[in-house]
Amino acid sequence: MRRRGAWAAVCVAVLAGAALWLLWPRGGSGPTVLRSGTEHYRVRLTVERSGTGPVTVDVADLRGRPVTLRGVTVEPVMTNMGHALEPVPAVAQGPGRYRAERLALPMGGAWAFTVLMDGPGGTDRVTFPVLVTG
Amino acid sequence: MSLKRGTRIPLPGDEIPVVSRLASAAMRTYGHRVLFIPAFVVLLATVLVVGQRPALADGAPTGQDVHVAQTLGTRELSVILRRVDEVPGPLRVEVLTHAGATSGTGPGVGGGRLTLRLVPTGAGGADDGLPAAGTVVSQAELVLGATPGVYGTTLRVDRPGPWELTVDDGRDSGRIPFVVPAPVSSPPDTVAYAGFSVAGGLLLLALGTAVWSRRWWLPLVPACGMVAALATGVTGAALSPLTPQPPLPGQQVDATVDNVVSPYTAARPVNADYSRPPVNMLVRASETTSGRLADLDLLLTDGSTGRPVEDLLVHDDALVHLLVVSPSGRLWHLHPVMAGPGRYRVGLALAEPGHYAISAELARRGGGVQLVRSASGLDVGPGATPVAAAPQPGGPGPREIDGVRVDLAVTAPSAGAATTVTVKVGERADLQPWLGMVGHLIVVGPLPDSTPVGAAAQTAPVWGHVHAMAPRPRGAASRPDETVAMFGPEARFTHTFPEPGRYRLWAQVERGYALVTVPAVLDVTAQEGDS
Repeated sequence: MRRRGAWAAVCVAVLAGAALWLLWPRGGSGPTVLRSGTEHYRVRLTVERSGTGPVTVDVADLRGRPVTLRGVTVEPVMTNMGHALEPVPAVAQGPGRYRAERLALPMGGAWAFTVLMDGPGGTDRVTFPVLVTG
Repeated sequence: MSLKRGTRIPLPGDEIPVVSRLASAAMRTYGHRVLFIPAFVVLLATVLVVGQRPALADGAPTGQDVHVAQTLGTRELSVILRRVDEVPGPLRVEVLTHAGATSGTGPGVGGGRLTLRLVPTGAGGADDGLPAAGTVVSQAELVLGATPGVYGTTLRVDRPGPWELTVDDGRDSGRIPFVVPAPVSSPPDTVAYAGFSVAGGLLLLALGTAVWSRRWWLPLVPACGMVAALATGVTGAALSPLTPQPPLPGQQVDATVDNVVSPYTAARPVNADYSRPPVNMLVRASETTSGRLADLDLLLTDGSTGRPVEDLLVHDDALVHLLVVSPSGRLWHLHPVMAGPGRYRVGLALAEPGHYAISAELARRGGGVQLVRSASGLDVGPGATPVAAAPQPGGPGPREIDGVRVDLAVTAPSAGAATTVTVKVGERADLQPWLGMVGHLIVVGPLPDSTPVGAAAQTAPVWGHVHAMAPRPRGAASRPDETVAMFGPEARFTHTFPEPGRYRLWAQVERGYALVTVPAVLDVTAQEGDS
C-alpha cells in the first residue's frame, strides 16, 4: 500500500513538473538588450521594457575595446505610423557608455531606434528594431 | 558503441570489469527481465531524439532563391542568391550577364571582375561570439567572361537573420538586402511531435510492464501517461493549422536575428497593418550635358518623417524599377543599385539634350507597390556632339529591330475596355524570362503630338507597366530563370487604357541574353457612346 502511494506521488510529481515547465514564464521583464554593429564599431543597446526609461548605448571597436566618441544620438521612429520623435543626445557615462534619458515614447509598438555615432571616421549609424510593449 | 580514444578493447583472458560482474550477478538473480529496463531507456531516448527531428526536416523549404536585377554602372546584371539550406553553410551566388549595355556604353561592359562581400546586418539579443554585425564575413572574387551567361561563386553565411550582399565592380557597388531563414516550427507542432513521441515510448513501456511485471497495476501507470501524451499530441496537431502566422521578418516587419530564429516567441506588434508611408524621390544627375555618361542619384525619403527609406523589398526581381523616357522617346528600364541608406544610383548615357521624364516602381516593407514619378524630371543641356533623335515609331504592324522581325498586333484599342497588345519576336519560342516575365510593356500617355516625348511624358496622366507572365509548369517548385530560352515567340499584354488619345508603348523581351525594346505608337479611340 505504501509502495502504491509512492508511485502515485512520483506520477503526480512528474505531471506537476511538466506543467510547471510548460507554464513557466519566459523572457521575464528585464531590459531588452540588442547587439549590432557598423563597419567600425560594435554597438549594444539596452532599452527598458516599458520604453519610458533611459536607453543605454555601449560602443566598442571591432576588438571589443570601449570607444570614446564626439557624440551619440538616439533617434526613435515609429515607421509604420510615420512618426519620428525628437532626437535624444546620449550623455557619456563611462568608457564607451552613453545614456539617453527621457526617451518618452507616446505608445508601445514597433519602434526603430537609430543610433548616430559621431567619431573620428565620420558618422556611423545603426538601426535597432525594438518592439516596445505596453 | 563508440570507443573513446585511449580506451583499450578488452581481450579474452582480461580481468572482467566490475560493471560486467554486477550485470551477470543481476542476471542470475532476476533472469533476463533485468535487461528490459536499460533496453527501454535506450529505446525511449532514441524515440525522443529521432521523434523531434521531423520538426526540422519535413517542413516546407524555409527559403527560396532571390533574383535581383542590378544596373551596376551601365551594365545590366541579374544576381541570383540561391536558397540557403543550412546555417552556417554555403550561399551560392550567381551573376547573369547580358549582351551589350542597356543604358550606355562604358568600359568593361563585356567582362570584368566583381567583388562580392557578405555582411550580416541584423541586431540580435544573444552574444554568440560571431563577428559583429556590419563587418564583412565572407568575400569572393567573380570573373565575368566575355560571353553573356551565368557566372557563380560560393560564399558562406554563419548565422540566420538579415544580411547584405555587396556587388562591387571597382567603380560602382550595390548592396542587396536579404534574409537567411532559420528552420522554425510552431509551438503546437512542437507539442504535437513531443506528445506523439512520448506516447509511443510510454506504449512500449506499458506493453513491457504488462508482459514482465508481477503487479497488475504497474502497466496502468505508463498506459495512463500514454493517454495523456496522446491527448496532448492530438491537441497540438489540431491547433497547428489554427495558429496565426507570425509576421514575416524582412517582408512585413524589420528583420532581426531574434525574429528570424524564433518568430513565435518574439513579441509582435498589436496592429496587423504593416504598411508604411509613401516615398518621395529626389533625382540628381552628375552631368547635365548631353553626350556624356551620367550617374543618376536617387534619394528616397519617407513621406512622413523625411528619413531615408531603408526598407525596400525586392519586387518583380528588383529593388527599384526606374523608367526613363528621353526627349525623343527612347526608353530605359533600369534597376538602380543601393549605394547607401535611401540612396540609389544608376549610370545613364544622356545622349540627347532636352527633358527626360523619370518614374520609379518600388515596394516598401509591409507591402504595397508604389509608382513614384519624379516631379522635376531631368533637363539636359546641349553638348559638343549632338546625337540624332530617335525616329518616331510606327503603329501596329511588322517591323525589324536588331535584325529580327517583330510583329505587333493590337485588338481594337478603345478607352475603358481591355485592349490586348501581342508582340511576336522572331519565329521560334526562344524568349527568356526577364525579371520573371516573358515580356514587359511600358505604356505612357495620352501624349500631345506637338510636344517632345520626354516633356509630354512628364505630364502624361498614365504610366503603365504591363506584364506577360511566364507559364509555370504545374507542380514546379521554382520558376524558370533567365537561362530557360523556351518562351514566346509571342508575348501578350492586356491593359485597359483609361482615356482616349495617342500613347507611346515600349514592349521589352529578352532574347539571346539581350534586351529587345520595341517602341510603338498606339491611338486609343473613345468608347462608343462617349462624347
